[in-house]
Amino acid sequence: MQKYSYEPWEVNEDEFPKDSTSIADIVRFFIRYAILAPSSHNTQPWKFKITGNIVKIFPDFDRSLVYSDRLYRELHISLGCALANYCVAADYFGYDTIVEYYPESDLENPAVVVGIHKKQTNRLGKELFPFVTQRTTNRNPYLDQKIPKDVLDNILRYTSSKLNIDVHFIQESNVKKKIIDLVDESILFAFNDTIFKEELSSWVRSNYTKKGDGMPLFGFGIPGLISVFAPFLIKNMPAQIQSKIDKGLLNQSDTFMVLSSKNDDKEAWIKTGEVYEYLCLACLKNGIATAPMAGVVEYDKTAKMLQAALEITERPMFFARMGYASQSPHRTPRRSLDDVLLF
Amino acid sequence: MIKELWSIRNPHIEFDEKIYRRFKRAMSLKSKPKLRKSLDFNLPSEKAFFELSTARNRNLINIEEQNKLRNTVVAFFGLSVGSHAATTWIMESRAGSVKIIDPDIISATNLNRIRSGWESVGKKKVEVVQNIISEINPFCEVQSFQKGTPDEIRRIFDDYPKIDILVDEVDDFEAKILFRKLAREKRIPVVSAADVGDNVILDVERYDIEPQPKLFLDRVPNIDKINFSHLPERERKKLIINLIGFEKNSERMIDSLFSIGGSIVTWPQLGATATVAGGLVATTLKKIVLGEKVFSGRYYLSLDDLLVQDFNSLKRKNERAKKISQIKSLLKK
Repeated sequence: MQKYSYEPWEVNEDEFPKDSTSIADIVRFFIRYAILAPSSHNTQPWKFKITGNIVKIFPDFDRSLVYSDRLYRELHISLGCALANYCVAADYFGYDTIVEYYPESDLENPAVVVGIHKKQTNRLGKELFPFVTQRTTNRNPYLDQKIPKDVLDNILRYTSSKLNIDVHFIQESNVKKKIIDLVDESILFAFNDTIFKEELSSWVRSNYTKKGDGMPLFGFGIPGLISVFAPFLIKNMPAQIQSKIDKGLLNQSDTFMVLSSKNDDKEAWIKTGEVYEYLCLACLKNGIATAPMAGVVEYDKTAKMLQAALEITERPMFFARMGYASQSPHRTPRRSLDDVLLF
Repeated sequence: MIKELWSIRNPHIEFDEKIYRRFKRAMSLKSKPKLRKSLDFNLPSEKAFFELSTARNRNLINIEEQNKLRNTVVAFFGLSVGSHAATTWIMESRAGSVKIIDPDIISATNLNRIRSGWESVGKKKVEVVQNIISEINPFCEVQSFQKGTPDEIRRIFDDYPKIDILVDEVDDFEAKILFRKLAREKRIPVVSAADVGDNVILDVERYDIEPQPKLFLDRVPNIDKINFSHLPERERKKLIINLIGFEKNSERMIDSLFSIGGSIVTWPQLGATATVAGGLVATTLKKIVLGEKVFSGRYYLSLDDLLVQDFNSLKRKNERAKKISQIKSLLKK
């Protein structure tokens, strides 16, 4: 039984069941890394079912954001992040992964089916593995320090063009200014919506939380005692104040990341999540922090305007700010493995 | 149907001919599934059939829950009310396996409450219901039984696939007792609904989660000690009445009890109530499988109570009480 809500982060590579005769034990071990992935509001909307060398990843709709994510786009992006972690872990320990998205032959309708096979692939995922247990979403202000282009090019190596998700790193100030205005518009739209804030407030936590999910306010720079009023603070946060805070953070971020896709379907969303997670880990490898901001792509109006600002035909799926940060936040709580396994 | 399939998989996307054509082409390359009952058409996969036929369940039943229902094996004993329960259950659960049991054929007098036509008269109930189930879900494995003997009942419990829940809609006391003894031994819930006038009486016996030393919710103490082979008809009627009970019955239903064997052959039943009872059973099965807090007990769905303004007026209550008292004194004789 899990002792406390940060215990999943303590998974250690020495615990890899190398002497086990059951491949299911190995699959189970890799899932311990999958569940460390980021997810919208830290909802962790995933369930896993193990059959031999296969894991099926199911969306857990009970953990969906029924109002702000009614298409389940963010939910599927979260699944993609978990999938990426799983594949990175598998690769590190010498297993190749074969991934199917919503396979037509599977009546249980999992979002992803992943089979593992022992094979040294020498994929770049091995280099990302040490960062899986260090990853956090860093919502702190970033340093006034440029990210060199060759670093961005290096980060880009860690994604696969086979996933058909386009990655855009934006550093040009005119374009960044346009994007900041769009993000701001989406923030105002969201924070003027009481139902949105009500839903968000149900996922913020005090810094002392014992729950295995949600977002403790230390991730937003709010200290302990004040964080006790977390839901109240969010519910009553005036849109203008949130907008001012976020605009400040965006202005201090050297680079923006936008992921876009020709298709706007579940498979594309999962792949977006995969790409983000690979990039996020690669950023961390290079000392760069990231913080997603979903509003600008979830609000259709700003998503279209972002598409126009970037002069692309593909639909933007994901936005994050990037930069060098002086401090790294505490990791967020996680539910235990037993909570997410289906039998 | 491919268009509908695309639409339910992408409810957020406005129809786009180009995207749809790509989808249609991809689907045409899939090898078609094998159906237990042939249809004039086929779809790219069993998953496609399943998704289309459960799309409107979302999100009252989510995907994980739908899989649980699909994997649940229910045995339906008795196919009058049982036929409604079985077909409604299949409609909602899309279960992959079901067991149906009834030794009878459809008689003309069944037509008021079995959803079938004159061409079915004389046909075996299991055949007619199996056909309906196969049309609803061409992937459902329907095991049908017609003897209803104790040996067959035991095999129904023991043979693959093992049953998860039992629905009892039979009149045979010995069978009803055997169901419950086996259910208690194997920790399987029993659900039973009686259509009584315009009302439904639902009995839930959770042998799976609660200790149940007494059968039938102890409505008839020591019922399993009764020797049914020598039980006079009058005593059988007394038993039925004690099992069903007088509560919540309408005056007209109570009057019918006097008439059985006189102006009418047997217990009257109505098609609408049989249908409602079937739906109630199917809903109860769903709730039990999905872990909702449905505990052992008797539950009343009284449409008289719901719809009729004066059903609980003092006058009508007194009238019913008087009739019940008359019947009780008759039964004592």
